[in-house]
Order: sequence, then structure tokens, then C-alpha cells
Amino acid sequence: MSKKTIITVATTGAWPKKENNPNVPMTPAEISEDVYACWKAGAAVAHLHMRDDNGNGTMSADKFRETVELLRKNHPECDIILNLTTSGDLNATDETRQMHLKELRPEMGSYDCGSMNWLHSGLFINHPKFLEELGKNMQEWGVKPEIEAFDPGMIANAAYYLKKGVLKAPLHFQFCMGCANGIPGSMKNLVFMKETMDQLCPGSTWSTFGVGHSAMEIMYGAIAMGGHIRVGMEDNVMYAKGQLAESNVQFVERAARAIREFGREVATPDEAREILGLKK
Amino acid sequence: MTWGIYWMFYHCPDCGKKFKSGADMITEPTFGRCPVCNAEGVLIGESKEGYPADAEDYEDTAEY
Ligand SMILES: [Zn+2]
Repeated sequence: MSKKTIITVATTGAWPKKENNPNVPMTPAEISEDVYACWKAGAAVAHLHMRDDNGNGTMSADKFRETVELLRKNHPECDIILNLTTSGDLNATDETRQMHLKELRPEMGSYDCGSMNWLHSGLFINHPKFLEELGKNMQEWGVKPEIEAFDPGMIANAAYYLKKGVLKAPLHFQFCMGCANGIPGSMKNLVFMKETMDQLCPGSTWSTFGVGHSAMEIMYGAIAMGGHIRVGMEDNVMYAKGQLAESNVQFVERAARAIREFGREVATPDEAREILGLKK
Repeated sequence: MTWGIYWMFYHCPDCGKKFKSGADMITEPTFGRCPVCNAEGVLIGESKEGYPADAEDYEDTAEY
């Protein structure tokens, strides 16, 4: 087991707005500054979503470009790994979900490995045709997929795409736990997700987070099990019960403290590249 | 992409307290029950309909 734990920060997501937490970064300027601050606090990977001018999730390649350019221009020393979402707007087309990857060639991008109900009211569609196309494109563009699995069936789906050559080993998973309609966040379920992954996609690396109440349980569990962790306001706008998060840095700092207290080390971006098999 | 806690908002039929329970805590005995008098709450809304205007007044029933 590697001694290093990767912290991914998911700064923004598609849903929280200033009314949910006034500290959520929304604009390219806010997001790029937040990524820089989180990098200084120990985040090795930034998972990014964009918002339109009304604060709604958007797959606008312009917004992604503006954010990445601001980060590069204002903080050229920041070597954080960028992981751009492909699922930032339920109404986006298959094309707009990937064109920013083609243009910007981030080191990573999210890959939601199946469809599901969304908020008991809509559909989060990842059509087989889209997943096949996206997997092949990501290989061609040199973007490593982060396989988001909201339940064990999505891990089985990744195993299928591995056999088909749509995805290439070694895979990296993000176990997304505690979302409505997904697997609930608990230690028992985390162990099951990891065992399912080890059985179906041996040799994969993994990270995880719990949305809402299970955030702490899942974070500490992942550190103890040798996994990697994701924190940030995409998944949790509360720092603790009754306490709104002040910033994404606050989450990253807590994660770094927990990792060090446990006796592990916080992975730098280059160490994370090594673990994830990314070429710099 | 994630979508936060799925909240269900309740009023207590006995004491009038406003409270909310996260769907990720659905198996907890405190789910949907008044944190003051333990009465079963009356569901008045949930995340898919948007938060009620006074959403900040609702106490989370989860113990964590
Ligand atoms: Zn009551």
C-alpha cells in the first residue's frame, strides 16, 4: 500500500449556489483562485465544474478555457492535476460534454459509468453509445478517465468497457457515495465497493467521498483502507452539523490533517501522477 | 457530478417545530420524527420541489 494519499478537491459541482453556501466559487476567476489556494493546502487534483452567468451548471468550453487560462496565467507554479467534469449539465449534448476535453487536454476527466435517476425527479443519462465514444476519445486525447461509480453496477460496467477496449487499465475509480438513488455512504458499503472493484478490475486505484452525513465516515474509512479522498463543496456545503463551510481550503486542510495524523502522507501532484500513471 | 443531500422537510403536528431529514439517513430511527417531541412529522416538501422559502429554519434530525 502506498504511503501517499491523494486529495482531490471538487470545488463547485453543478448544484450548490450562493444561497446554499455563499463561499462556493462560481466564476472562472473565483474557481481558479480557489484551485490555487487548495493546491497550496495539499490538494493534488482539482475536479472542476463550470457555471453559467445565472449560476447554473454548464458545459461551456469557454468557461473551462477561461478558468484554466486564469490559473496558468496567475499561478504558473501551480502544478495541480486538472480533472474536468463531463457531467456538468443534465441537458448538455454528447458533443458539449466532451469538446472541452478535446480542446484543453486536461490530464483527467470524469467518466460516469452508467445512468441513474436524479433527485427522484429526473434522469442522469450516460448512454452506452456516449460512454463508448467518450472512452475511446479520452484514450486518443490522453485524458485519463476517473470512473465515477455511484453503485457497484457501475464498477461492473467499467469491467465490461475494459474488456471491450473502451477503457484501458489501470483504471482509477471515484466511489460517489450517499447521493440520492446511489449507494448509501457507510463503511460496510465502502468495503463492498472496494472488494467489487478488486474482483472485477484488479489493479485499479480508487478514491471516494460521502455526500452529506457520511462525509467523515467515508473520508476516515478511505484513509484507513489505503484509498484516496475527495473533499469540497460539490459534495458538502456543511463543514460540520450546523456549520457552513468557510471555504474549500477548510476541507482540504482537514483532510491533510487526518492523513498525517493517521501516519500517511499527503501526495503532491507529481506523486499523484506516479500513482495514477499519468505522464507529465 | 453530485447533487447534495436529498432533503425531506417536515412540520411537527404536535409542537409545530420545523425539521428536515436527509434521505441518506432514511434507516435512522430519527428520520422524519420531531427532534423535540418525537412525533411523526407531516411532510411539507422535498428537494425535487426546491427548498421552502424558510429552509434555514429547519433543524436536521440526523445525529452525527
Ligand atoms: Zn414536536
